[in-house]
Amino acid sequence: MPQHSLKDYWITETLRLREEHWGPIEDATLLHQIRHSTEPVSHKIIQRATLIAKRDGLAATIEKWSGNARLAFWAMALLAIFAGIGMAASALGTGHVNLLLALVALLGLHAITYVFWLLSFLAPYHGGTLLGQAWLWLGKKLARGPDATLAPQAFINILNQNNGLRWLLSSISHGIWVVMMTAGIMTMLALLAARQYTFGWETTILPVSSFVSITQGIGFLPHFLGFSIPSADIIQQSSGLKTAGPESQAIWSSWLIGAIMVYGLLLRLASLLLCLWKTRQAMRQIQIDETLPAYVGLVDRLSAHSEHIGVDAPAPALQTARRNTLPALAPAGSPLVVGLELSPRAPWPPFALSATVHDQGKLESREQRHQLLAQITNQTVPALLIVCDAAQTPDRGTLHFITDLSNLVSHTDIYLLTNQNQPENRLPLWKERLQQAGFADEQLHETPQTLSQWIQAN
Amino acid sequence: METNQVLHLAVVGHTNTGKTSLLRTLTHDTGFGEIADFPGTTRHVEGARLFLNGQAAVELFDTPGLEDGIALLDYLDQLKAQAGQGSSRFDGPGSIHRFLDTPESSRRFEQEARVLRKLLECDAGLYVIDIRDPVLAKHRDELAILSRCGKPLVPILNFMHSSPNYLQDWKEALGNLGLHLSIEFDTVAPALDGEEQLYQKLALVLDTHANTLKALSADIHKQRKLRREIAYNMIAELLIDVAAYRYTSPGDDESIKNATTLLQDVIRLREQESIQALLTHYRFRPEDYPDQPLPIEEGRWGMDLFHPQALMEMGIQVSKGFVAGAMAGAAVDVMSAGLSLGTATLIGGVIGSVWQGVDKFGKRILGKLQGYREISLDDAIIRLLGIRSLQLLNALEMRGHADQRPIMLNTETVTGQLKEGDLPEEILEARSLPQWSKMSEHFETGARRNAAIKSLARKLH
Repeated sequence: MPQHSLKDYWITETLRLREEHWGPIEDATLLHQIRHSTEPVSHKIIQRATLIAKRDGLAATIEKWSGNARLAFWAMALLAIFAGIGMAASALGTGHVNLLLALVALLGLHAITYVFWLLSFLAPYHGGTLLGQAWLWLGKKLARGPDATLAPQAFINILNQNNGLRWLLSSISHGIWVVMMTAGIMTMLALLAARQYTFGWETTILPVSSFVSITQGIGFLPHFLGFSIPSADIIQQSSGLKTAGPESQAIWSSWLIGAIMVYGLLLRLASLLLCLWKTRQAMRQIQIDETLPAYVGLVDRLSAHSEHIGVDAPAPALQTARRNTLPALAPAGSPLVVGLELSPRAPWPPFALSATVHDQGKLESREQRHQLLAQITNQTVPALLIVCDAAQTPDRGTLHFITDLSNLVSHTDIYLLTNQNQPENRLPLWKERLQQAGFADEQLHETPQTLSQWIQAN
Repeated sequence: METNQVLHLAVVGHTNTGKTSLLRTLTHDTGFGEIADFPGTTRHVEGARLFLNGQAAVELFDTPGLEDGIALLDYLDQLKAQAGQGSSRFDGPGSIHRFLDTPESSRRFEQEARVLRKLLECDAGLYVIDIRDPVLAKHRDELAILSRCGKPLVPILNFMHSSPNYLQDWKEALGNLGLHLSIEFDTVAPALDGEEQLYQKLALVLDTHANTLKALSADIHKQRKLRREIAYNMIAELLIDVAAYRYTSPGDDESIKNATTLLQDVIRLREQESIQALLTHYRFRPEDYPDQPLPIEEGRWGMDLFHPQALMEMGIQVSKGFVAGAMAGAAVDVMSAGLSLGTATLIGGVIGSVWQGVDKFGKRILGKLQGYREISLDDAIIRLLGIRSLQLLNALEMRGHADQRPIMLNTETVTGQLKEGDLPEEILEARSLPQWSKMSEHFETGARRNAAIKSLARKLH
């Protein structure tokens, strides 16, 4: 089974959107290639989409959009570099650096957006981050053409399937922040290397001890990476407008860079790695859900249940038995009544027979047929009443036999039996077929009323 | 390999017993052949191929009905007598081959000859019986002729739901001929798992193709489940579409009235579309029912969606705000614009979708401020749409592809959340998201909408 790439799913989803918005795409010839493969339907859907994409140039549109998206990312990264440089430069200022304000300037926005990102996990709607959304928006703005808006929409849809979009947009956002932080730290290192700075803290209402604990608390984690923590003495010496010696300034700068490095860069980097891992995971789980209404028609057409094979030869014209019109024979012997292919449950005789009538009984089998034919060939029968069951189908064999019989007697009546308990009957069909066979309307009877000569008079 | 062989089956039987109907039901193709209450409606052999995972598995052949069995048996006897009594070549298939060489096989017995020729080519025959017919000598003679082909015959007892019938008589008669295993299958109203049962029973008789038949049975079961799941998703989508739909109109009464009429038309059209889609999904072609706009029972289904009577008949509680007459089924939203729906959702939505949503929300709120109103569909109508669709689904599942009668809906079959109780939360969510409606010009189909459709569909089960 072939493994499908993200791009395959992307193409499939783009096509689904296009067909849902603008109607189905012609695919008759392509379908022949796919229909009879043994793969599951979801694979066939993807196969069809990639074939259509290749034919209609949809793949190129998607290629273009992913190019744009990449471009948008690099544009944002470039901006981030400038922002990082600007941030570092403004935080350090010209000579004297207020430590807390510098820390807020360097990490404040980052901290707020990071907290927002964490809070977004509590919200039910997973729209992603602001930066991530900006990246999507920029990608859309760069795209031109009829399918251009569908491509990013499809991208969002497939990624949204397993919450992948949140992780992807988070990755973009963290990535931009990593770039920004790196640029900021590089700028700071450059500035610190090239210029003389003094570090200090100022307060009107806070006690000195709180600064000691804040500073040492912040420096605790960076210390593990080798960044220095200023001692309580140095902290106390750096208050207000007092300045400690040059070695203290080096310790302060190490502390500041350590804080930015750990709480800014490394935090974002760790988050980036986590998000990239989650994105990958989500992308691996993408699949086509063929039960979605959007795929209804397609699933039916891709998984054919049956097809016509055709006919063996054209159908012949409908055959009918024909009755010969014979010269009337001299009446002799007694009239005959016979029940033809009646249900074993049907009462016999259907009415009390007149004494002059000979009751031939129910007739069904081949042997009985032969016997009757022989009988009426040998002796002249003046009149024959055939009782038939109108609930059954008047088939060709029965009609042949009725015409065969009627050819041998001078007068034939046919009584079409209907059953009140069985409202469905084929009376009109019997009449039509018997008339085609050459029987006159007055020979066909639906009720015993018209058969008075056969019924025993009371 | 045994499983790669295509099984060839000839569908044979007396005339007008439902052979073509069986083919239609087994191929899920309402367009197969021609069906009428006439002898000799089918006068040629027509084939259809069934696929298993895209590969041909079974070929079924619809044959003309046998009508002249008694005379044909006479003729076969005559041929045998002419050839001499001792000739064993004229027993069994030999006698049939001999008959097929005679001129009568293209004259009086042309139909019968086509049937026998096809049966000789096939692996087995399905002998279709209309159990409303009594067992007659002609049927026995027919079976005698068919059995001379030397192929296994499997009786299919059709019209099982009809009474009075001759089921016992038939079983006895078939037993006397050594045909002890017969399959009950009503081509017009097959059992829900009728097809699966049919192939499983066939597998018992035709053991050389048992694997194919069992796999086919399993596949049909799988496909049926899938078709059902998709159908529920389709109904859920309909409900999401109509719940999300809203129409903005100026605030004066006249405009609201006009807007309501437009809304009603849009919703009616959507329902029609949904019915057509469900019919197509279950492979019933709307064009197969030329006399009616839709093959739905006159009356109840013909009842307009916005007629209060339609709601009453389904037993749907109507809220106090429900208006009858020209404004029926419309909920005029004065100020809230769905903003009151789930504050938590809203806050989450605002945080998450500031970038996307500000534009749309902005436009809607601006509309409010300028005295516009939003017209949306009343809850009761959404319930009605859901119930009607579920009834249709139930009817379609139980329907054979040979059924020519209009579709009957059973009001009793649907109960549960749509009839009473709160509307599912997916519908409430859709209410606040007009872009979820396919009829909206700002239609957006995203992952969240799909997820809502799926979870709503699960609740409809």
